[in-house]
Amino acid sequence: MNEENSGKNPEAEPCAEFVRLFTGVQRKLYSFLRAILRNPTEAEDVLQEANLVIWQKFSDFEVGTNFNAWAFSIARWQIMSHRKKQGRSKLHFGDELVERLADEAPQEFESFDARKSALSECLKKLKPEQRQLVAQRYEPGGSVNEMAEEQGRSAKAVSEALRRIRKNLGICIENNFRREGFA
Amino acid sequence: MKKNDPTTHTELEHLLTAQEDGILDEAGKERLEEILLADPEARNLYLRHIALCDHLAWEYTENASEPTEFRPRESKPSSPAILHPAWTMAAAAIIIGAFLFLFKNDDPSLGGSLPETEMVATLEFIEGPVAWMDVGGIPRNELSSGDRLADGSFIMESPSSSMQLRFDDGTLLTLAGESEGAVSSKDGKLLRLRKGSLVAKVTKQPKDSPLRIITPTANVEVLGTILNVSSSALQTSVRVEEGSVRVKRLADGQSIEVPASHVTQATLGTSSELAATPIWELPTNWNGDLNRNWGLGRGNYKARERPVFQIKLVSLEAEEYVASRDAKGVPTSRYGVSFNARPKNKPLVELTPSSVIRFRCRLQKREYVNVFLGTNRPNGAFGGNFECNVVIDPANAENGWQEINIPLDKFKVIKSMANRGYALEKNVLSKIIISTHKDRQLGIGEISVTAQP
Repeated sequence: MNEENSGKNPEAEPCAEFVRLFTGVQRKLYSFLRAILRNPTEAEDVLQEANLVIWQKFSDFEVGTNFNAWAFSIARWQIMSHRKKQGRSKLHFGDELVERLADEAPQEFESFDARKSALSECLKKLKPEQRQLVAQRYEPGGSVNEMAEEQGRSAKAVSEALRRIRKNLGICIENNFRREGFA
Repeated sequence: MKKNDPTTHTELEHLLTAQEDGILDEAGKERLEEILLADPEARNLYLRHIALCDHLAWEYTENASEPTEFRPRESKPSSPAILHPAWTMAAAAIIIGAFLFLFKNDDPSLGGSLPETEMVATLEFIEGPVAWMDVGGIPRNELSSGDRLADGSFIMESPSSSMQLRFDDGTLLTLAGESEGAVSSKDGKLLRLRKGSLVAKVTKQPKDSPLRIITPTANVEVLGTILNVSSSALQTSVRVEEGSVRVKRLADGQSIEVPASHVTQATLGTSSELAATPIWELPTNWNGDLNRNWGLGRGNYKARERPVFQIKLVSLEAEEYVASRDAKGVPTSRYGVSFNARPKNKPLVELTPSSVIRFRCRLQKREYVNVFLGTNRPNGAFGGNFECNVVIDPANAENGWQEINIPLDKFKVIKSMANRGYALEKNVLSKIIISTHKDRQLGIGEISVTAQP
């Protein structure tokens, strides 16, 4: 279909709906990329490249179709291109696992936003000292090592405490899901 | 391997925790891949774990933007915000839209059509690679002190870049580091600061036409004052030294008056109230924590005897950056580590005549090492850039490392800022860059600034 027939104007600005969807998918895309690339910096770089493609191709997108699936497919293409440029690295997962994660992640991340809301509720259920620990870890500049120094504990002990909290948060989110009928 | 085996899932949990905390070794990485490849449920858990950790980071990055960090007289330096990269990227994506809006083509400062080019400012000094494009998209090559400038856009490429513009009404704008933006004088002065930092000493502006600074997250209106602005895609910090300014947060339109000696921070999110808080008092001693994100420098975790849970950086390794460009635009690289007072504009330390810059370093070969200091006046105005070159010889090192002490009086103002009355004493230190001209595997193990008794 040519642009004239499709009614699309290549010079047009993205519509408000496109910008809303574009903004809304950012965090999902980042987590998707971080899961596959294992490296926050690389995920950041590839997200930037994917965003540019999404933005440039906005006229290809038809409002009412599945924006997330479209954005994930662009991100996936960017992952492949990035991996090709980088070559095989010990830091990366192998091709087979990447393919599987890339196939499965879009479906898993359909509940991404709902899980974020559930997390906010679950955080309120933590004990104050647990909340403090999570805050120290995830506030800007926070690190397990620094926490260990401040608390006079070993980094291993702090990390283990965080593991238990993350596990409880995960269980709480799942329970919320079951109650809400998502699972 | 058994699928859906609770033992395997417990192991997976430990591996995921180690990965999240950056302490997963090679064997662990291989084991993680093995489990994920074999078990679809493990892959689901993995994806959920990544999402959970990212959600936590976003939750606390948003909350950390509350201005409660700006407490005066803090006994312990507050952590510079190391923003979660995902949040940065999400914001960056939003900013693509915002930037297109801010810098759209009908803006004469970015290549729109103006009937003629009017010179509006004089370049007081320029340091490092700076690309300037006049109205109409005309690039200005080989800029130097004294050049007249029309409205235009700029990209400052190096962490050590700086330039100062003096408008014809006397207003001084000093931009530093990797800053990007555009200047327009049509209908009042307008500076669009996409990222980076500036110090503005603004002469009295017409009441109906204040100087405006627009960043991705804030709109700042200035009638006459000294202020310090730093901006990223996520947040804008405005520190007012004299006078007062009006800051409007673009995310929700909330606006406040920031009085003298106060600071505010306008973020992309709106979870916190926009508020002005008193400026901190600076210490005269400072110890650089290598585990914070200061700018240039790759973190190195490797120690000679690395404990299982050693996750503290033992050094920052020099990274390549563009230090200058010749007339043809060919870049010259340097290799350095930087410590920037970012992103909230809180300087690192107050300098005194007895201050000593001390660092522990490692170098592969004998080499001149340049130590660059970026400073501000105590009132926030630009204070000049200074440098000192020292020869460091690995032959003097013990176990590869040696301590370097440089008293303040060894630093000289950089050449392009000579004879402008800049003096280090009583300034506040905003930036340190330690670099070499060639890649000599420079590593910095410790750094501090101390006022000697």
